[in-house]
Amino acid sequence: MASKIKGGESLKNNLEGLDLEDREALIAEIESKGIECPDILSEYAEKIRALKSGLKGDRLKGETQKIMSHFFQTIELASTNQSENVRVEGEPETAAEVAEQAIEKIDEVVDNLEGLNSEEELAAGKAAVVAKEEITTTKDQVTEGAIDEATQEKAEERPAEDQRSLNYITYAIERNTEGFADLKIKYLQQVSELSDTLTGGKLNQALNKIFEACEKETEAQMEPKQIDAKNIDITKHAISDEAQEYPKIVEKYHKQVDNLIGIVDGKILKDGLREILGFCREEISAGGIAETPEESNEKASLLAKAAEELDQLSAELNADDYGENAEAAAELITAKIAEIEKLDQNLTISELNQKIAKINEGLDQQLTKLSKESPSEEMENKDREIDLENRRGEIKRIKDHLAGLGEDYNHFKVKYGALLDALNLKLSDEDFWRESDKIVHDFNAEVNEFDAQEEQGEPKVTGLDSARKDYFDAFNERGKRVGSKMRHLGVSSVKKKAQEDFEAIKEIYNEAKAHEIQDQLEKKKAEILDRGSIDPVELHRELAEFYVQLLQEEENKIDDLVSNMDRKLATEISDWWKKTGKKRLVLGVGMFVGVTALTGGLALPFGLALPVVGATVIPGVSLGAAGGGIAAGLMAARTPMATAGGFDIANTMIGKHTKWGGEKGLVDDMKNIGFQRKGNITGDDVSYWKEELQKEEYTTEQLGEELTRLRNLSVEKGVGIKDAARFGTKQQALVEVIQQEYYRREKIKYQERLAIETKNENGLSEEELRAEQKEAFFEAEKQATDKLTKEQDKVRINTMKRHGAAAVLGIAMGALSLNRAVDAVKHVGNVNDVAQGATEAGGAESGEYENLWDKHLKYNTESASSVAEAGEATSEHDISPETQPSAIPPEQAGSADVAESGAQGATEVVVEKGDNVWNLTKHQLAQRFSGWSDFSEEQQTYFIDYFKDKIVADPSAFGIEGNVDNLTVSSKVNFGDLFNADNINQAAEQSSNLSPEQIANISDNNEAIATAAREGIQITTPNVDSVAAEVRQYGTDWIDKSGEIHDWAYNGDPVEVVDINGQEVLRLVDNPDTVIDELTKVVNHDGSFYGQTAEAATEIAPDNLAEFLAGQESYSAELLEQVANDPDRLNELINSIFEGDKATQLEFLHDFDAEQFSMDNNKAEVFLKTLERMPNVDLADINSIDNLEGYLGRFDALAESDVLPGKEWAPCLLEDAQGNEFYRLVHLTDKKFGQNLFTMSDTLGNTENLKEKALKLLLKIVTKNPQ
Amino acid sequence: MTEQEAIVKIKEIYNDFLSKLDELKDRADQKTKNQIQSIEQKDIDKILDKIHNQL
Repeated sequence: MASKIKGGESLKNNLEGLDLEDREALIAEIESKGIECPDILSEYAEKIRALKSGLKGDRLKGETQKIMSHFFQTIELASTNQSENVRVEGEPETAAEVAEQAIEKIDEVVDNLEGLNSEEELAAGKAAVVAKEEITTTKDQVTEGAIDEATQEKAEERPAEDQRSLNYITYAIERNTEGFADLKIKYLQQVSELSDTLTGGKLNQALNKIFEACEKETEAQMEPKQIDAKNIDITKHAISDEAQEYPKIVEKYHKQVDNLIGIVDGKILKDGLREILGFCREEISAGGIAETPEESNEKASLLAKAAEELDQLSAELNADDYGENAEAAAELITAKIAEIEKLDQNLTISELNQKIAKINEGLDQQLTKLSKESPSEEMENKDREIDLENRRGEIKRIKDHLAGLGEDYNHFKVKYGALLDALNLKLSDEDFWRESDKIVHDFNAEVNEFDAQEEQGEPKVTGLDSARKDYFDAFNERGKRVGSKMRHLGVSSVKKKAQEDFEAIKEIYNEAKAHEIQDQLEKKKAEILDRGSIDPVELHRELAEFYVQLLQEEENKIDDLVSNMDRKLATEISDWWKKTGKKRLVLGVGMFVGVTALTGGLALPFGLALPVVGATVIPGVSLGAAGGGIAAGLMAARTPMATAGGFDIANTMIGKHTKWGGEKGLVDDMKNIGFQRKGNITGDDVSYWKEELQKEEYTTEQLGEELTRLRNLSVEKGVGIKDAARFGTKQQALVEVIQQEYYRREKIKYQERLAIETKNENGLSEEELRAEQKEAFFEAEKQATDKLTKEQDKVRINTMKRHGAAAVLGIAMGALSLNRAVDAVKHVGNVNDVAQGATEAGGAESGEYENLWDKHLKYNTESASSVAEAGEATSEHDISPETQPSAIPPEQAGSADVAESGAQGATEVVVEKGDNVWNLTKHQLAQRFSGWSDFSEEQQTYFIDYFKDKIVADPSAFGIEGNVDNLTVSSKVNFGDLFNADNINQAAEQSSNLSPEQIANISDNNEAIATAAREGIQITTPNVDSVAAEVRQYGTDWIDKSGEIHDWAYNGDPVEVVDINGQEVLRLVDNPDTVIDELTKVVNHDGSFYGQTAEAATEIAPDNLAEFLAGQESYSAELLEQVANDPDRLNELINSIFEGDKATQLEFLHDFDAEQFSMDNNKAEVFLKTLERMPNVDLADINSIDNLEGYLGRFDALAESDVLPGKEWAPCLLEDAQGNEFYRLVHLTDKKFGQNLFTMSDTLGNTENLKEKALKLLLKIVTKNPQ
Repeated sequence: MTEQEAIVKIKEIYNDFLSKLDELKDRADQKTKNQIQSIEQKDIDKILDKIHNQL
């Protein structure tokens, strides 16, 4: 093959005068290339010739090499092309061969890149990696070619449904097994075998099983993020594939998938994706005819109305009319409601009407049958009566047993009494006896445990403790966990049993608590009376105090409980939140931040865990009063005011206090006042609020409502009530103020009640009084809790709808299908039923959005005439919300020539003092759009941000030279055609799709940035996100004037820890002359203070250093920990370690900074080796932390140098394709003709040779060749 | 996927890669041009300033 290259000789002749060795080598190399390319040769010979006259010595040599390097790259490319031709003639036969050739070619091309700068070169490298991966994957897919072909034939015979499942699962398996070729073959083969034998439901089941197994095996080897990405991709692919004939459906459901991204992850995301795919399939099977929002609304309200009517019927059902059958009648109605809920939303309105009529048909007759007047039913039941007798007998037997137990067992009596009452006599034989057996069994087990604890003198888990735990577990689970038995969202749902269970558990807890408080109060009363004659007023005062104390104790126990609760689903996310909350915020995870800020820093998957303000009965607060209520003879029956009435008022308050349905509350307003004033809660704030809350304008119910809201949050977050507020520990003091005030008032109220009660004007006996009060109490309680549960569900559903959670949960929500709800969420305020909660709760602000979205949507759906109007409007530059440009046809919008109008805004502006990109952009927009002021603040922000980003991305395109954050006064900014129709359309489109969370997020961010600016903090493009996130979460205390966030703060000012002459000194960042010595006032974000950590460190300092220095003990991480806070001792340790062996040095470095010297990045090894190799450096010279850090600094500078290593070994910071950093020693081994070769060593005996191009791809820092 | 389909797809991927590379080259060229232009402009400005001063 190798033929002599033409022109080789002449080139040789022209290289006279060059270094002989180079020349010979060069010619030899050219000859070895063996291709015909005279043009290239003569071109480069010409270049060399031109060089000769002007240059000498090394420079001549260098330049020659440069030219020759180009020459070789060109010639190699030519050679590649030539060989390509050769190969084409032979036409490779298999995909594997083609793949191999293609990969080879890609490698060659990358190796010979020319004329690219570093950025493009990197991009080319990455593109090559991607292309090669794709090629490999494609090649691998062919291995099952035979199977594919066979299946293809069968596919034609197969029912469409089956084929769809097969396509879905096949793709899902392929996607799951990317990179696991063997698994792919295994699972695809399983699928292929099945598809031959099974069809329909069986096939589906089997496919799902295979896929589950496949997922299990592959996901174990994936990162959570990869899993999420893969699931998203599979769903999107399935949507595209299955709805390919309906592009609108594809678009719609892809959008729904996109809406989940970044909001939820893991299992929740997966469930949501399934849900979306399900809806997509439904819509396809219904013919894919998308209906208008009006039609959806009409259908939704039709179904809602039908369900509501049945609800009403159920509510009006008089139990007396039905006797034993009352429950069956209720169930019948519930089942009908369920049927209505299940109705296919894709039916037409008239079809739905027919179906509803059919469902309701005969309901009256069925109900009549169940009523007592139905003689035939009575006859039918006769046989069963005997059995009922037996069942009643059994219940009585167990109850009698309970009644015979002593006082210590009161809690169990209550709990199991209630369970017995809840036993359904209408259960099947088998179920009834199993349930009753279970009650006996559980009772025995619990009582045995109780007795055993008592014998061993352990603290007893009382019935109240267990009831409390049961209740909060159920509460926590309720409405939150997908598939949870406790999940139930109101009377119209089918899960009546779950609701009953929850109610029973709640009742048990209420009763147990009431008994406990009653017992305690009676004991207390006896104790006080034992002291001899006592003034009734004094008695009442003491009892009231004790009563409030009991309430507080119960609260504390709830705090303990919720802080340690096994919260399953919530735990993982919540813990993660607690650990990384700040970091994540600083990272600026857009949407998520918005959501978490709304939920009070709660990182549960949005709607899932949103607090339901004031709508939930938290007995610790509201039912606490119940204890007093039935403390026999001690107080009157609880008034409804303390329960339902109170909470009704509280609910009205939510609107006033909150923006978004109650995630913020009174305590936030309180904090906010402190926040604006100073940024921290001070003693003054606390006293101020103490006085404020005592004023009449804050009712006890409001305070109760706020505490209830906080308790809700506390359960969700798994923290004590004081930490439940949005600003956590910072607001502790304020929460405490509310608590104190609430209890103070409760105490007074209780005392008053006692005073009234002692009058007992009706002359009842104590027993009668007690019975009457108890009855009245439970009646009031029942009414209140029934109402509250309804409220809770309503608010919860609304909250979920608002946050788009419905799509994830797949919950039953009245008569609306979920995907429609999700759609509706995007147009808050447009679909009345769905968005009602949002507009109600959103108050004035959300009302504004409602109008804008409403207008926008209306415009979008209006007829062509409106479009024409919009066109006109645009031509007059009237881009008001009514004529939002997203609906303007591009051709019309394009002709509008918005940007060039001198009257609307000059294209070029001169920068004046105080101008920045933001305000200039804002000014431009305000000038150009007459409707600008109609936009909400959030929309304006979005618009400005959109255009600002465009400017920042390429400042020079707008004439901005230098720092975009610091415009030069008198320089010019040229907006050019930035505000063209395309950009405006896009911004409008995006801003119109803002979710409520995004809007709230923008609003909160604006507020936070304004706060920061007021504090004199400099806001720049790079720091704006982190500053906003910090302010939103923690205020401005830790931010210095330049916008940098610090770990410590003192009296609201950031503090830095500096080393001055070996002394650790704390001083104010913005005022370095102020040194802080009150360490206990220097706090970090978690609320712990500096002194705490320092003291803690000094406390645990047993001395092992001496032993180590004396050689009696080997080095350990504990030793480092012991001395870490004592610079002198640390220096002694370091000194000794670097005089010792290398293994210890490595161990020490890994402990010293585990992140920097990780076990994988090899930094410690390379660092030590580099120091060893440095002339004039001896490791033994390292004798202090300063010294070590000095060397580290030098090492880092070397490793991150932007010059490629020369012939000497030099440390390099590298980065692999996955972005993992690692260190190697690298040196130049061969420098022939620009084809630089490097050798890389990990210092552990492993070396690798690589070309310069390859090294550059690995280097973390963009490098240039040594000068 | 059949052999033939795979071969077609691989070729497509390869061609896409080459096009991408061309794009990158164009981009790099454009950048260089911009740089040169900006340098030239500065030089011209300097000369004009100089002339202006001399005048």
